[in-house]
Amino acid sequence: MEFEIKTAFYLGGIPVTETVVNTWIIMAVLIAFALAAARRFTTAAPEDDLGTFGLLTEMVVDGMNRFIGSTMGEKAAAFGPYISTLFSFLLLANLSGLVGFRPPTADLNTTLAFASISFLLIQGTALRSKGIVGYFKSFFEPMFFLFPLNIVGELATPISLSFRLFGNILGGMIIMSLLYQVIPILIPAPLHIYFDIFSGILQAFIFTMLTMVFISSAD
Amino acid sequence: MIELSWTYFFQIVNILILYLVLRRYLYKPVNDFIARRREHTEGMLKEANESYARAKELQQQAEAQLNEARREAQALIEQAVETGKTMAAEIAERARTEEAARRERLEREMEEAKNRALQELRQEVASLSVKVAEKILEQNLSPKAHTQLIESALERMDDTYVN
Repeated sequence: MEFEIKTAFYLGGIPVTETVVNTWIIMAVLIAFALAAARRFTTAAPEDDLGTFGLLTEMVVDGMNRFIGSTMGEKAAAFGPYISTLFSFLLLANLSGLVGFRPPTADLNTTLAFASISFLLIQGTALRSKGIVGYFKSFFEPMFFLFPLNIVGELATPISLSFRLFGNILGGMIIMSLLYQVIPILIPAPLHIYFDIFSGILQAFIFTMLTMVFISSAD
Repeated sequence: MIELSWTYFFQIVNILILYLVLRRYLYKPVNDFIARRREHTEGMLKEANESYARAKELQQQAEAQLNEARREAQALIEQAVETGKTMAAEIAERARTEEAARRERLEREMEEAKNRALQELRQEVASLSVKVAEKILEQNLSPKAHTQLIESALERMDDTYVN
């Protein structure tokens, strides 16, 4: 099947897939951007002109801060950088299909990895705010026999998060590939706008938004 | 694709590395800068407000001082006018007094001069009389004619000078 993920090379016997290589490329882009942008912020005096690039960077970072703040409230300061990182990465990963990459998010390993981190953050926040006793007690509420259901409910969060993102991106990718085999010109262009741009931005947003909401409601 | 593989662990490490790098090199500097600038802006705003309040206070003080100065100037003018009037009255009074004194003195001097003139005339008459008498004597007049002559002379003299 041609949608299988190719193994790029082996690193000491461990297979490094196309997904990982593409992830590294996206990471390199983001890190290069960060390094280029950060220099002027560390040295700039408050009244200095940041330039167009600096202002744009500030606008993006400040915009994400505000958005995370409006969703998470006082927890934004602690979780803001991770949520921003997650959103930036997912956005570029989902959009990377536009330049012919196989989106790293069209691989369950990627989405499940991120969902696992979200799961740990959610459980960690709950543990911290309820205490160890309160945390375990919450699984037996409102009735003790609902314990299995509570466990399933908690585990459903990372599974639904990861499969939603993975399914949407993979589905879009498959539809576009099939379309290219039938009509390779003109028709695919507007569909890219839907499957890659619209769906990609929306799914990145949904994943981060749900992570924020679950962390906030874990209190 | 759906089966789990090493990629899962790679991706966990990748996102954590990306998180640490972006936090260190992007979010921290940018957020620090935003905080620094907010502080700076708030400081400037506070300073501006303080300056404005101080300027307003100074303006009120200046206005109060100006009003005070105006009032003082008005008072000074009034006082000067008053002094001027008093001085004018004094000068006029003194002039009147001096004029009266001068007139009195002049009158007195005139009186004295008149008396002195009379005195001198009398002496002159007396010596004239003696000279006349001598002249007559030289012409050998009779005692009778002599007396008559003196008396008539004296009479004429009285008529002319005394009256």
